[in-house]
Amino acid sequence: MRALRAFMDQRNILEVETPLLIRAANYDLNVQNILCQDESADPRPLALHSSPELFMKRLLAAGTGPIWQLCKVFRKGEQGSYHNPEFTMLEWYRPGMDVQGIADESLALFQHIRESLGFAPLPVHRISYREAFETVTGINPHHADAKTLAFWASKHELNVHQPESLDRDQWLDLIMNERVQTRFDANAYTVISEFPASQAALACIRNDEYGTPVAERIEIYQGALELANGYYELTDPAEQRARFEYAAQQRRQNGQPELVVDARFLAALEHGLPDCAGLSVGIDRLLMTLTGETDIRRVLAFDFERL
Amino acid sequence: MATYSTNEFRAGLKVMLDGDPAVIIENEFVKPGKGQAFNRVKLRNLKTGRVIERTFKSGESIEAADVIDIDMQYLYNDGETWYFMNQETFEQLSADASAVGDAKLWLKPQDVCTLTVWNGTPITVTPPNHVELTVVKTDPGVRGDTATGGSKPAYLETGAVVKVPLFIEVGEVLRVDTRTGEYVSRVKS
Repeated sequence: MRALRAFMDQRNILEVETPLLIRAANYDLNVQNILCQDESADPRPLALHSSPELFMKRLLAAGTGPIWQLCKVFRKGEQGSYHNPEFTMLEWYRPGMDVQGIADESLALFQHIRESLGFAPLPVHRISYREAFETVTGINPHHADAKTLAFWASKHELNVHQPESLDRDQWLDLIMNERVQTRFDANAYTVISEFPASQAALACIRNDEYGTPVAERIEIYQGALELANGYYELTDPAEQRARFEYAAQQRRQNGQPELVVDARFLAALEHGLPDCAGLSVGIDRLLMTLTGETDIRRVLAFDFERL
Repeated sequence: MATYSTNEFRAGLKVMLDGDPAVIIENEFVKPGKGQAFNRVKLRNLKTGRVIERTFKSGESIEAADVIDIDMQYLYNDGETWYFMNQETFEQLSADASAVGDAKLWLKPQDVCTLTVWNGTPITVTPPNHVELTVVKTDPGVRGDTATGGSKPAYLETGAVVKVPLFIEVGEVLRVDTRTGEYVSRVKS
């Protein structure tokens, strides 16, 4: 933690705090908020945040310059060897930087923390999502349909209950998790870039060298373990509104609770979010890589089952 | 029909999979930060004993299996069917050879076994961890040899063959571990 603070201070990044208890829940279809209630003041539902992203962007739009935050985030139902419903997240934003720039800064931070603990730096592998996926499966992830992916899975002992219920992105997630990430070097950082456009979340989309739209999003892994996720941030309010509305519609279709669209966040985007890159790191998992533990419960003093 | 959602999955839960009852052995939650959550589950088919790996989208539900374990006293067999009795209700159940499996080597009348019963039919029979069985045939004992590590086969009343120390004689009662099929000790009569 001392190494982390020194790193951010040295780079003149301002430490901030944003609310954990929020009104408008997140946009992400695959992340569920833990809901709370306090009718005494205001009958509208409250939630514990799943990421400080939207508030930090409101600060950026207000002109703070580079900012960072270390906070607890909460995700409903995420519990296992690599997940705890409450976990510690490091998140920072760099106006004027692109996604490769912030990925490099994140790697520099990881190496800095390793050094401060007396560990040698780890080598870094950089590879695009397409290349990583194609190397293992021979399938182009940007063009393959659900059927092709399902067929590949069935031929590679990836047995899914009700396979017809999985859409294209779900197949990509599954194959990536179970058959691609598992091949990443355990003693190196692997940086995956150029995610499928359908998995852009809050990242910009641009065309890659083949003219295929890809998300300006990166993830950093050590071995198969996902440590960090970064974006070149979407700043276009119209595009952002469209993505929120798409997410709301998908939620309705899936029978998930509908969420309040964050009007203040959209207003901040309209006011003008500077071009910037943002990145978040799962600190508990980073600790796992530093201590060699394979279960997140081993790096938490009180995991969810010991509350 | 009762169902279980993936967030209720844990080791020991009994569910229906591909028309057969199965028990969950391992359940691992897997999820990319921004992606779909899955449960990677290992199950054992309770009829065949085969272990299956299956991935579920988190949030899906599957049917619960109407499977219970009952302690029952073994009565006798006629070569095709093994008969058991519930000592509280005196209800009798019969199990076929596929349900009894290798347990038949350890079944002695009056011993209490665990029957795994699915929709009223026994699908597996688990003998007690330790049984006491009489030696019906073995090479003559080497008197006084209680120290050296030699062994010989001994045939027991149920048809099982276990490796025993050299001093064991025909007619002696042995304590055997049914999970490993190994001799534990002599039983003093």
